[in-house]
Amino acid sequence: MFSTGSYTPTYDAPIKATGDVARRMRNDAAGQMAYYGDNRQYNQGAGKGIAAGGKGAQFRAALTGDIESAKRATAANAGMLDYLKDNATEDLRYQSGAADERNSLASLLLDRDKINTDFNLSRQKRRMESDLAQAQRDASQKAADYARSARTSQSLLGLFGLA
Amino acid sequence: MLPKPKFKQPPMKQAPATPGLTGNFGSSIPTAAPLTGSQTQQYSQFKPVYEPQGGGFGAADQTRGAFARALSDSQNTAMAGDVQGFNLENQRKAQQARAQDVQQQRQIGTDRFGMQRQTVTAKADIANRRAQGMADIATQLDVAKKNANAQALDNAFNFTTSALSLFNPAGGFMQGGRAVGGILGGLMR
Repeated sequence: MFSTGSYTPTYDAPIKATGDVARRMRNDAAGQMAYYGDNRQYNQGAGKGIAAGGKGAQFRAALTGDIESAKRATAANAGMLDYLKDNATEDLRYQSGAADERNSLASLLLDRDKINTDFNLSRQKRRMESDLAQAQRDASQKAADYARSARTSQSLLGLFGLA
Repeated sequence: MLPKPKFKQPPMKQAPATPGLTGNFGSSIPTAAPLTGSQTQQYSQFKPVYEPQGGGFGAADQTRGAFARALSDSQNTAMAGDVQGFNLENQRKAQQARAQDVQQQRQIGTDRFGMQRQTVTAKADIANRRAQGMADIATQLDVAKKNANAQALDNAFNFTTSALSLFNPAGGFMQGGRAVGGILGGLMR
């Protein structure tokens, strides 16, 4: 009915990101980690001098800088984790899709086999009925031969007035 | 004697063995947690952004270090929770997909098993119908042959008795038979 390759699965491999972009983003975020932290501290006027801010201000500036730095560190790793998550999700999507396709193909093959089986069974049934009908005709012919043979012998006797 | 019936009976095919449902179903969908490797460990753990230098601010430096460790600890916990949540959700979906996969295979396997059973049954029906039909025809032919043989035997018997009666014009045990109608019997009467 169809060519041989008609039932070949089309799912071949999961489609994943290479990770280049994610690694670049992580490097960028890691680079910003030090910059944002240091910049925040310097802007607070850390150091000695008149109106340059006391140690308390310097300490608060340091903490704020650490927070900014930690934000970038989080962003750096979160990007890579998102990359790993996307790949894991793609793995599952691919496995599910491939399994669905395999089962759909198996269902199609079953339908095909049912069609062929019904066709063959119908052909066998017709062949059986044809054979039986032919056998019936042969048997009727043979039975008629038997009857004719018996009547012939009877007729011969009748010809001589003996039957 | 009539010839033997040379009735050709088509061969009856042997019905195939009944197949069994094996029930060997499996799925390729894994249900293990996906994020467990060294990369996951590397990207979900943070070092403190500040380490106490051992001088300078003194107690304030230690405080800043403690604050930085608290930051990294909370980040680690948040990341671990995020990874765990993703793993659990992924495993739930994988488990559901795996169950559907196996269930579809079971359904298809059962349908195919039913088709095979129906095929076996239909072939057996055809073979049975053929065998019974051929047996009926053979019986009819046998009856016809026996009837013809009986007729031939009856004719031969009549011929013999008629022939004997030709030589017994006075009657006798065949007086009431067919002898009175014979040609020679008529001439002799």
